Amino acid sequence: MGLTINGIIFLVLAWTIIISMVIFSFYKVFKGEEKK
Amino acid sequence: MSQNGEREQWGTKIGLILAVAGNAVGLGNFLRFPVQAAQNGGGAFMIPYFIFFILLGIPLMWIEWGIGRHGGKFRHGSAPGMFDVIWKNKLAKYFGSLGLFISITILIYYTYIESWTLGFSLFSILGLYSNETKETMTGFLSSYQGITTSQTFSSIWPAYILMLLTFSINFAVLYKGISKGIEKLAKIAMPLLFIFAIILAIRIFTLGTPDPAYPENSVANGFAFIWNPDFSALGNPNIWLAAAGQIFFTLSVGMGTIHAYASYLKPNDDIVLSGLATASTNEFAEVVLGASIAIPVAVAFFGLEATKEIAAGGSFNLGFVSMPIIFGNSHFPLGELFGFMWFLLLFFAGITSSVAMGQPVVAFLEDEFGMDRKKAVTALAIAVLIAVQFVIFFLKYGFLDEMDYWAGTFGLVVFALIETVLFMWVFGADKAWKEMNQGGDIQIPMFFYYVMKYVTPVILMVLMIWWFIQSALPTLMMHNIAAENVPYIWGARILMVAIAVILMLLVKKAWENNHSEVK
Repeated sequence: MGLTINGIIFLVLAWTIIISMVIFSFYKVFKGEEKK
Repeated sequence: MSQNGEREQWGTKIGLILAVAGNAVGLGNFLRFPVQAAQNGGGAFMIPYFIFFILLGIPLMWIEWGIGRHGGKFRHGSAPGMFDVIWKNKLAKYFGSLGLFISITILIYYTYIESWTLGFSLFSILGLYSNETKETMTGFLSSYQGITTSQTFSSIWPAYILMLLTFSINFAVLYKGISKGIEKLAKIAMPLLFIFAIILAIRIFTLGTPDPAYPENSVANGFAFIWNPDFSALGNPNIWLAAAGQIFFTLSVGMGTIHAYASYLKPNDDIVLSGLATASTNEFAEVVLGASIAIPVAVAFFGLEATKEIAAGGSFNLGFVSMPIIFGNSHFPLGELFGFMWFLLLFFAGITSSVAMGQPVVAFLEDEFGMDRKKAVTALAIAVLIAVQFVIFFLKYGFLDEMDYWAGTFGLVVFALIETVLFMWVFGADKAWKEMNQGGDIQIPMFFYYVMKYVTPVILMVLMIWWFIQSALPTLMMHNIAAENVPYIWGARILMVAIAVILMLLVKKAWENNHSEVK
């Protein structure tokens, strides 16, 4: 079987969306804390 | 705190985010999600999953943070007082008591399950299981639960002692309070959980094909099982409902716990960014880590067909039977250590959720009855310890499953629907929008105003009706229940009704006694 191209696309896309959300939100949190 | 004293507060923003993320990240992230994805279209499942994350998960998080912080302004740390503030009706507080009922009922059985993870982490490091088969490991688990006996466990007492230990840790954390207890726990447990999960995921990535005699049994095929999309599945409404259900369960909304945590914020503290950070952390634990451990390693050791059977057997089967077999397999070097890490990460996922379930009732007793925290925690501990006896000793008769269905499944969607309607329609969408955005480090995009007002309640309504027809009615009518279990199912129902009635009477008494003075 193995991961198909579509499978890889879905995996990479899902991970990218979630990791981007984590980085964005925590960057904002820490930046906000620094300002305070 | 007493009614005249200062309410507690969170020590740091990151501590609060970790505590709420700890509430959301539970056993389901590592056991339920990969099974749901694999069974419902693989990678294609992620399409409805992300759509419902935006239309249901994120809006509900913000709604609950908003209701909680708003209630905190009026010194209410639990749903009865919060609902009373947003809906000036004498029935509001009784609707809010559902938030207390759900959290305490889940706490009763969830902490017992959590104690199994602590026990299994010890059994792993002590090497109490190795080279097990499905039959012997199932026997190991059921003898630990006191359902049967085995050479390792001849009675339920080891499980009972570990349950007492788990309860003691939970209530010690609650006893210490918000900042010194819950926040401190989250700051230790959450980083450890992520470190263990990342180590396990990397180890599993590098396993490749554990037994070269079976080249099809590989980690790559495990990832293929979860991620290769089946687009034809998107035409099936069940897949969409499964995705909505998964989003709903994974974020731990509809329980009254997020409200309780948010009530300890100041009126101008941010909730928008905190809510987003919390939801993102949960998704990272679920989609990135949760999908990279149990199912891929199960395919690598058992093969695809056997893993499908394991997945169909449910989360407990995967977590407590299949995973120990893998860690005890000679093709998994240092299995004792990785087994220890697996069950300890589940324990951390569990305890950060269970302390959150205790907080609403503790806050209720503090805020509405003026009890100090220590007395409130002691009262909760006594009540929960009495109730859990039924769960422990009647486990094999389906007592736990019955409580889990009504409080931990159907009750959640009912409560979420009530709170969404109350906040967005009764309190008013404009006021709710202003409340949620107040003090925000970022502003919620206007798109979500319409989502929260129109789309989220409709999705919740559809979910509730669907579950009512599909599972609530058959569960209520006891379809597929063995005759010898029927008295115990009724026992579980009587216990739940008793809990609900006691909570409503307490709410009534609190408002009669001194609530009007406080307001």
